[in-house]
Amino acid sequence: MALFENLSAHASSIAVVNESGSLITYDELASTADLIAEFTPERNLIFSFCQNKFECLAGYVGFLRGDCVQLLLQPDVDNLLLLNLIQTYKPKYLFAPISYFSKLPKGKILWTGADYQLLQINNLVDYAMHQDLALLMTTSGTTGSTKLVRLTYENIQSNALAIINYLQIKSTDRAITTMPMSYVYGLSILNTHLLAGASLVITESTLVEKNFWNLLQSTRTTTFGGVPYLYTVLEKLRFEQMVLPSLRVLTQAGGKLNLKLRKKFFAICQEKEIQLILMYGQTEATGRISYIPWDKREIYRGTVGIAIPGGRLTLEDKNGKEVTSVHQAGELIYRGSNVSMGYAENRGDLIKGDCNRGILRTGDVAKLAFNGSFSIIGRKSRIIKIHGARVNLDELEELLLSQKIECACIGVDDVLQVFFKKPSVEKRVAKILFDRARIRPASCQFRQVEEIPRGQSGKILYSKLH
Amino acid sequence: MVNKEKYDGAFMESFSIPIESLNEDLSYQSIQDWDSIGHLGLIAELEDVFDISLETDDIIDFSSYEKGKEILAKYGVKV
Repeated sequence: MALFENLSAHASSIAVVNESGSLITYDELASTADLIAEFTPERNLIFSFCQNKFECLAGYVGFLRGDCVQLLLQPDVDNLLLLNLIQTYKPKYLFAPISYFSKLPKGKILWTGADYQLLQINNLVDYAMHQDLALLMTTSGTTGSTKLVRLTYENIQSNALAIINYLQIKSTDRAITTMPMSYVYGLSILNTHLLAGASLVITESTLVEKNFWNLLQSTRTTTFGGVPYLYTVLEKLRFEQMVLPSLRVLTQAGGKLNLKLRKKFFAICQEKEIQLILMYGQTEATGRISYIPWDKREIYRGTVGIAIPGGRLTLEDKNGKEVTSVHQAGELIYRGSNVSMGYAENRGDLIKGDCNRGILRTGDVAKLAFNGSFSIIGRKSRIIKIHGARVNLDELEELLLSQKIECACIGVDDVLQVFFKKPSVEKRVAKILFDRARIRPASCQFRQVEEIPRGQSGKILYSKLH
Repeated sequence: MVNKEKYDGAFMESFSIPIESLNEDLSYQSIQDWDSIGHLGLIAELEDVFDISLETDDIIDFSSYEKGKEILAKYGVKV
């Protein structure tokens, strides 16, 4: 099975509006996509470095149509992590911005576009991959972990169709990019709009640039999405004063929007006749798991809302028994055809089949709400989100330990606390966190302690840190 | 402290960069720290040190170290 085989159904409709304002039809997208993928025989592994450029999108579509497997990477992926990933997964091809090539291993250039090149590198050993495997996504992308999520064609298709259904995406809709496509939320916006025959405005400009807003207005964009931080930016930019008559829907995912912003933006959007749809999801579910319908935003406030069409959410206790009392917490369990096949930790894992069988243990601890939905109250694993990006605290500790800094990391979304023993390592810790994990000092609180508290087995006692 | 020092200080503080990096080449996304998150940090810092509040158009037009000087002039801040 491949994906995007049916692009010609929308033949001469506009698929993409470029940064320069040029219009690209579905037929033109398909032909560029196939031109690139002609160089990559089916069932090969490609690493794709994602920028919001037309050629990157064309490559993504082409490799899917051509039945290749791709790992989507952020273009500023840490160099060490990249080399590690290449060694671990042995891709045969790299698809990257031309400006990026000095960082990459040497190879044979197969295709060159305006911004992108396709490179064949010297990985001659071919490993088989599972026939359903379509896409690999990083689990954190930042902390140096080479663990990947294995997604199938069916995962992508079913999640995209469910999202099209509940957001009622129509061919007249137009979305502008606000996130890289290596981030599953950004990717799902591309997938859904292409499958719905709608159009995409592809830009590297961000919300704090004049060009973004000019482009949004001139292309009559109807929708964009963002992580909670994007709404902080919109607040600072006085979104309420902007006149954007074409805008119809805003979406939000990648962490919980705080109460103040939620209230404020519900009010602003109501005033502007824009629907603001809050959503919950995970990479392991190809993006979306649940959402709060606009007209039920009061009923479902503070919860994850309702499962996407075709999906189901339940709570389970430690023994795997379903929780039905509102007084007891449990782990949020999602069932649906968008649940990934599982993880990969090395090239050999790419042959593995479906380990999850449609059931995802989200790791989020929740309580049943009176409206029948679920309120997330914590996480089972030590993961926080910083500006929408998942940060595994254990992996951060390992990263710092590898630089000979013993520390303990705790935190909540957007605030990382790092405790360390050695005096005067704060600057070094800050530099490592930014260089290697893209976590900036403004998101961190550093604390020097006399001793990192540990139990008898040597495990850090996090409850004693404060 | 004179305005130039305050202005430079805001950049050095927001982006953890030395004074040598402050020149006409310094612009949005020319360094890793100056992304959308860094941008809001810089704007907040400048608003703080000069006790002003930038208009939306000026926040999104503040595209470089040099351009910023022009923008601040509109607020009566001569750098």
